[in-house]
Amino acid sequence: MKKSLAIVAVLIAVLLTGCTPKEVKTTGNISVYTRDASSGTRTAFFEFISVVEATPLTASAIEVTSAADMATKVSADENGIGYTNMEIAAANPSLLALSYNGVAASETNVLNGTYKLARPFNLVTRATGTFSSPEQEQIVLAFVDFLMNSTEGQEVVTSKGGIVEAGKDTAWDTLKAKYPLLAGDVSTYTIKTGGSTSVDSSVKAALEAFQALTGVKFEMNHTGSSDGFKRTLGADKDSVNAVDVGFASRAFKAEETVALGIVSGAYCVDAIVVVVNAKNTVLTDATTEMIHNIYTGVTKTWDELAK
Amino acid sequence: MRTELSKYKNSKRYKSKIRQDLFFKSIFQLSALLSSMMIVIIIVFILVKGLQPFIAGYQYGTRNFFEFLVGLVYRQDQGIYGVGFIVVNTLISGFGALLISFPLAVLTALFIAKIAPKRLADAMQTVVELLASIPSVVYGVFAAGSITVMVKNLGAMLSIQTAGGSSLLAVMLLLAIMIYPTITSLAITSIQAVPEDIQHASLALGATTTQTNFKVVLTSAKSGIFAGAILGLGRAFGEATAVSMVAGNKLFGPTFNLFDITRTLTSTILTGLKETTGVDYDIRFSAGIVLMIVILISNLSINLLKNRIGSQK
Repeated sequence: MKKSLAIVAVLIAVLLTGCTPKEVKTTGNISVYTRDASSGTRTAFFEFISVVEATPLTASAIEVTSAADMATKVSADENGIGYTNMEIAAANPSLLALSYNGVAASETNVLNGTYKLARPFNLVTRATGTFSSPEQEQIVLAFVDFLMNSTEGQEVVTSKGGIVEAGKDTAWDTLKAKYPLLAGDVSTYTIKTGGSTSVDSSVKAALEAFQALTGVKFEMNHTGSSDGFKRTLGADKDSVNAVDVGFASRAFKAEETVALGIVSGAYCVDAIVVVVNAKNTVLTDATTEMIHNIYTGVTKTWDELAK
Repeated sequence: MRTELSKYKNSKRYKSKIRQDLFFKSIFQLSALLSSMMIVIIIVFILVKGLQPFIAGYQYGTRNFFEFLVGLVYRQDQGIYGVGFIVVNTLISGFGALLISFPLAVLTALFIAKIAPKRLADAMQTVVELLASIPSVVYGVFAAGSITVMVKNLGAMLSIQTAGGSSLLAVMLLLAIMIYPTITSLAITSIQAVPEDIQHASLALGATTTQTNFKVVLTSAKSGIFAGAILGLGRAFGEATAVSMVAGNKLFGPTFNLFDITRTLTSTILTGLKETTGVDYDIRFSAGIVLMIVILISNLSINLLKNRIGSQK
């Protein structure tokens, strides 16, 4: 009886603690982690590495439920590979953030444009005089100023994972002096936004912060990047779907003449980082082709990559 | 005497009492109606939402109901929705958990109700009740942090590579722990309700205490014990939060390998629910209908099993 108890105890101890940690070479099958299909990060990432209909995601992929879940799962799996945002990748010591095509994933590299696994979050407003009233124009410009140039606005964007340029940190109290309307009651005004769905969380947070400061209401109807230009300055600018500010989670195309708008430009950059387990001995850098092959199931084992 | 009574019946006091009674009666009726209405509303709502994708003229493109039911691939990115393998996975993980948990729970209940000294029994019952009150997300965190590690190490010992421990086995173990208190509590109550007389009769006939416990007490308490199993199985099938943390959400199946990742109906419904629209959103209601049917059928079959166990003796 005592002997069997001891054996059980030892077994449990072994199971709980695992083998003694030693430098093991990463080998065996690659566990490919992905966000579920409704994730905006996934859509953006798969576009970068061209995981599309013709070359779809490998069927053996493991779905995780959130960016944080991705970090947990990959940090528990020596054979795992996944992708998440820069903040989460940096915060977790058991994750190794890979450089992409030789460029390290850092804020500097994202902002100077050398780190390519990143996309700008752009906005554009309507043209002068095309707002429903001059007052509406002033309110919208105040919000855009808040989002792009105020300490408070940029903080909100950062908290939603956006990477912002340093130096845009004028206090809102200073900025708001430019908009005399805000001194009065402006709760009857509604800012309408549209365009990219990826910007949803950061724009919503910014609008909520703006509402708390000024009382201005908002209405978001985001349907996709191409509608950002279309509904402010393009074909739909006078339709029922018209909006005051349009967003695109990519650079504006040449035919999208955003210079017509009062303000246009990026309010932050969104970066995706490919991560592996910190114990991974095979990878430190990811190339587009390598990641494409892993995510489409062409490369199945770490040994193939180690060669 | 009669006049006294009719006098009383005409009195104000009596009438106000009757009014009070009527008032409370209607309140009770109303709340009963309201709660039963809830069930009807929920079922109708889910049916309407869930059947929508299969009706011609559906705005995101009509799906084939048969392909949905028997499909072996579930990929939102390719617009393929088949829950056939998910149903199998759900059944395997649920019944697997029951298989682990049921014997343990019944034996524990027998120990607490009949064998253990009073103090120990009280303490153990408190432990079981505590287990039942732990929220499922806490179980999930525990499972993601320690059950997966155990499964991963077990896999490593057998030289099987797992996805960081996320696997069918982890789901089964997690669910077994989660349904254990449900089954145990109900089993304790039903064992305690077995009349002393028949136990005395059994002992007087020369049966040992163990024989009595197994052949008399447990068979007499089977109704309550199986009710516990049904509730437990319901919880196992219905658990979403904790399961989706360790299941791994495989895109195809079914999964029979204990160390392979799996996908259950609940984790399918839950994952990404808040961020999705269109057919991917509506199809989750269809999965909900399937889940309700699965639970209904398994409850019926457990009931059948219960009746058979009784009649053989």
